Amino acid sequence: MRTLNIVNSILPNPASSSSRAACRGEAPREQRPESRDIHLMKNRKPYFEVCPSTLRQAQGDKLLHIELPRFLCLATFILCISLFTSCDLPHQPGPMPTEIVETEFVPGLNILGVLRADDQAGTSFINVNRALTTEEIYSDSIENFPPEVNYVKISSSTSGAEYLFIRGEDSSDWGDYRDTSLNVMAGGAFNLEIVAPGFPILTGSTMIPNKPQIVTNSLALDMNNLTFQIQHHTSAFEYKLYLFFPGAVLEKVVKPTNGNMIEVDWDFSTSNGLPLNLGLTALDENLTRYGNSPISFIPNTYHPDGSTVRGGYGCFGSVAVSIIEL
Amino acid sequence: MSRMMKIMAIIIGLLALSGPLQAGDVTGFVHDAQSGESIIGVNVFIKATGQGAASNVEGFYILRHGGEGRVELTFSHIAYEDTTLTINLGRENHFISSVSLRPHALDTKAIEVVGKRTTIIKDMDISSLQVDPVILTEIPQLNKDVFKLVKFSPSVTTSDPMSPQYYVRGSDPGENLVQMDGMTIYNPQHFMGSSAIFNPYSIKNVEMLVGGFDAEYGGRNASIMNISTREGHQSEIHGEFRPSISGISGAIEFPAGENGTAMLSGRTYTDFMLRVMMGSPNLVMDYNAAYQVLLGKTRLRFSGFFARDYMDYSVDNLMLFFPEGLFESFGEGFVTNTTNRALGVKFNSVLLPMLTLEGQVYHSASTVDNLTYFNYSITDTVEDFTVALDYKTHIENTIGENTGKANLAWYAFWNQTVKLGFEINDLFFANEVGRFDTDPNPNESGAQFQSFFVQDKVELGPLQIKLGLRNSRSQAPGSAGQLRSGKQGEWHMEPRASASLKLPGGHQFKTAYGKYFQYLTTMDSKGDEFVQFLDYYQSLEDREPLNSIHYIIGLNGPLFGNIAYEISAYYKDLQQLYRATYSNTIVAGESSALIEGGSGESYGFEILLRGEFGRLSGWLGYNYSRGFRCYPSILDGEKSLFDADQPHNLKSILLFKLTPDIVASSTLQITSGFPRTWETGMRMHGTYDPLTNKSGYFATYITPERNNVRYPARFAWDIGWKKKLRSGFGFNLAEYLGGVDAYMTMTIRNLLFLHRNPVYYFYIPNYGYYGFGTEYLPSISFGYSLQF
Repeated sequence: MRTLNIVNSILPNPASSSSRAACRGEAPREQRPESRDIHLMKNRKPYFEVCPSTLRQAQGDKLLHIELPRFLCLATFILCISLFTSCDLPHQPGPMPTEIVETEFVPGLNILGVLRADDQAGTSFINVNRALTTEEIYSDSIENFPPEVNYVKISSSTSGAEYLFIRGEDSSDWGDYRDTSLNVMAGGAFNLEIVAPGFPILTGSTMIPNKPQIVTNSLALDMNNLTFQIQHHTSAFEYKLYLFFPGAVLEKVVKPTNGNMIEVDWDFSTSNGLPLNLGLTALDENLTRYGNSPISFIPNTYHPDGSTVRGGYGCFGSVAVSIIEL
Repeated sequence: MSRMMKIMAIIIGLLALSGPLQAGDVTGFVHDAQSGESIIGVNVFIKATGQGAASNVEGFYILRHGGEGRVELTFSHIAYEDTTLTINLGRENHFISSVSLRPHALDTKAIEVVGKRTTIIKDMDISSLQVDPVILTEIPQLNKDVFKLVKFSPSVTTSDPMSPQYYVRGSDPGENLVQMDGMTIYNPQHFMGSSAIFNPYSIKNVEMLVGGFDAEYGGRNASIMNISTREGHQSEIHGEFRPSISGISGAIEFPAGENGTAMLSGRTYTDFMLRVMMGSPNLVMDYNAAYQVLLGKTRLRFSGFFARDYMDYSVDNLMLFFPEGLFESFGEGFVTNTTNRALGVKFNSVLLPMLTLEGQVYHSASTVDNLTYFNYSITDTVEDFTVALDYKTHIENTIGENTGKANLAWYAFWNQTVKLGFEINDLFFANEVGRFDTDPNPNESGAQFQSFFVQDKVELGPLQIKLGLRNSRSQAPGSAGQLRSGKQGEWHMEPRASASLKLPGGHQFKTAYGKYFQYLTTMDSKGDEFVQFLDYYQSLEDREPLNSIHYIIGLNGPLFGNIAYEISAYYKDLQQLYRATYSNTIVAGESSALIEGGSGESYGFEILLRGEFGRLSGWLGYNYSRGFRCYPSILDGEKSLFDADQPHNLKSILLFKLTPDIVASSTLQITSGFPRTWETGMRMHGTYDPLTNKSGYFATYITPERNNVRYPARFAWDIGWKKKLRSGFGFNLAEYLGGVDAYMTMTIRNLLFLHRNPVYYFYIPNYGYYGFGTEYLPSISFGYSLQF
């Protein structure tokens, strides 16, 4: 307001010497304060306002001093209205999405079954449970989670032999179905059928990979490096390699490339000593696809299922295992 | 092809055999008297006759029918003093090599330059958006990011507020082209912070064509963003720096030899908190250099660009806060390593007053390596089960391009502008997806894109017609891993036509038609990576190119005072599209993107009000837009919503001049929600370990349908404040450092904090679904910059 008073009281002739002095930032001679008033004036802005070229600015400031409070009031009013009309407190669930395509939960069995060709009996297993609604999975207890099953049957595509997998006596939710006498052989083809009341019949099939082998005389081992060539067969879609040390196990994954040989060059730390054995596991197509399918815990995003079975969810696959002494 | 060549020869012959050029045409360049920088948007006119023209992005203008005899040419621009030249025009056409304009001392650039020049300039090009980059520095809430600014265009929608990807009129992000000084820039955004890799202090002009673009533009079907960088200062050193606690950003312009100028700009940031607290090294930087020299009637410009993002983020340090032995194993983090570079030389030459030649040769490349992992294992010994999660994504993508292009412009009789040109792009792709613990074995391929075009623009009184034809093809690689062998792809014709009719009262009616082809696509990683920051480019190899047909109509003109309006409507027939997703590729066991063909369509209309009203300037835009896709793997090929279908969008950028030193700004967005996939249930996904022959399980979502719900509407309102300092510490510091001006900025973001914009919904037991947003409170930030 002090500035405004100065503007109103001092409006010089633009051509006067006093105005020219004012343009230099000095008060007109007749208006310059006495020395005792200097300390009062030193914090004031220079007398630019009286300069002819800044009269417009002074008038603009006058307008601004009138307009600014109005502007602030209006802005505050709009802000308050906006805030309260859009109120959505943190403890509330928030606005919910609206449906575009009607989608319903489809019940079904969910399995992970692996036939393991490792020259041992009873190592193959099938875990059976069921798909759940979102509410169910977070409930305190889930009824019928490992569902009542009529039978879990494996049949050989070549010989037609059938094997019934039986649930173990373990009463937990995570018990597996096994046939303790079954010793599957590499290269075999098998089908799966699971029948459970209230669920669609689940079926699947797998081709057990050939037993992984190393190309003869390709193995070379030194202090911290192992090289060898895998004799690749088209039934294997991925290889998991294990290097066994006295106190540790290293793992490596290789994927087939063009051709029927896979070069492996494996460096390892000398702190583990020298490796004792090399383990090779060949995975079939189903386990490879299922194992590589991205598990998404990101909600509200679409993901292909990755299932390899029909009539349900999950995977029925197989592996073939070899152990080579180094 | 031979038929096409005959048609072009006939057209050129007719033009060549036509009568003498109209006398009295004037061409030339306009420059800033102090810096030597070319000036965009200078009005060049003859008061006596009313003939006028405007300078383009190169500062070049052509004034038709100046007449004969002594005429006064006036050069006018809001930021410069008017200059008048008196010349004698005869039957010859005149070329004025340089007219220098002296800049005004503007109180604030934002209102005067932005308001008068108009914030959004819509040219005869029916759908172009030209923005003065001063907006990037005057509106602090834009964080000086070109892509944040572009998202306020009514033609643009998004599908993820945290991602820099944008969709233009219903097309996919991979159909957008970004060029800096004519060089294609791949992945033009930083990984973290999702901001553009272009230093705002180095930007001179931003122009975005969102549809109906001329035959000289090709390679992408949705939009072309041209970013022009500053040219340098011819007489003294100028620059601007903005220090912060995490890094520094700045640009400097200076004279470089006789008739030469240079510009250097750079930004380097690192997050010290991440380094110290998390032990995670990180670095974000981009550098830009340009050197321009005038050699007679030829301007030669050398441009170079380099950007690098690196972060190795791991939460291992946080494990100190968890009970020991809780997890059998735990790992979480990501490693990202991206580089981006471009180097080129460009020339503009005035061969004759009515004939200009422009050419460019450049190399551009982008390399991306993104690894994300999250795994843990907990065994419940009582129930004897193991919960194990092994989540990981790995995308490696390289694209490199060597390009040569040229075009000849002839300002011919009947107010015609005839353009001829060609472009050859030599591309290299190397991609690998889902590589974990194995040696790199990328899928490499190459392709050569070839195109040439002819275009004619005719002005017949109030009517302007532009007809163009672009012919393009891709030479796919041959067999046995050879790159760029001799397989000849088909030529594809891309006709382009547009017309504009000036109506009484200053109104203008426009219409456009165009067919577009594109020879590469990108991979979608939304939903697999938490946020998709980057594009992953894929060669189409032997597949048919993407193609679409666009129809556009529009009307624009003055509304009242200094307010102008524009209304436009469009329809796009997306006849051939491609979709490549990370998850599909991984499930299929492919190491390179699995590409699926499909189609789609989009349509909509846009309304834009722009200009100034008193101390207020800016724009307000509304658009209604829909977009659909058909892919065999989604809903069995039925039509479904595309990811960025946002039917209603209201956007506004406003600047208010509070005082000569203070500009307040407001950015507002009210948009429809995005389509999202709502899961129907969950199942236990098994993780099998062949070593132990045991399995672990983790609950994962069941998603049978894609985009089956729509998120709620989104509201975002930020305000900003920029003040020129006249006193105080900031002012004194600038004086001490030799600066000319110092500014303080303040931003208040998320004013509508009581309205939640959910980004995800999680189910909470005994509560139900809860929408999680990213911001629950408003935030305030401050900035300081000095100019010298």
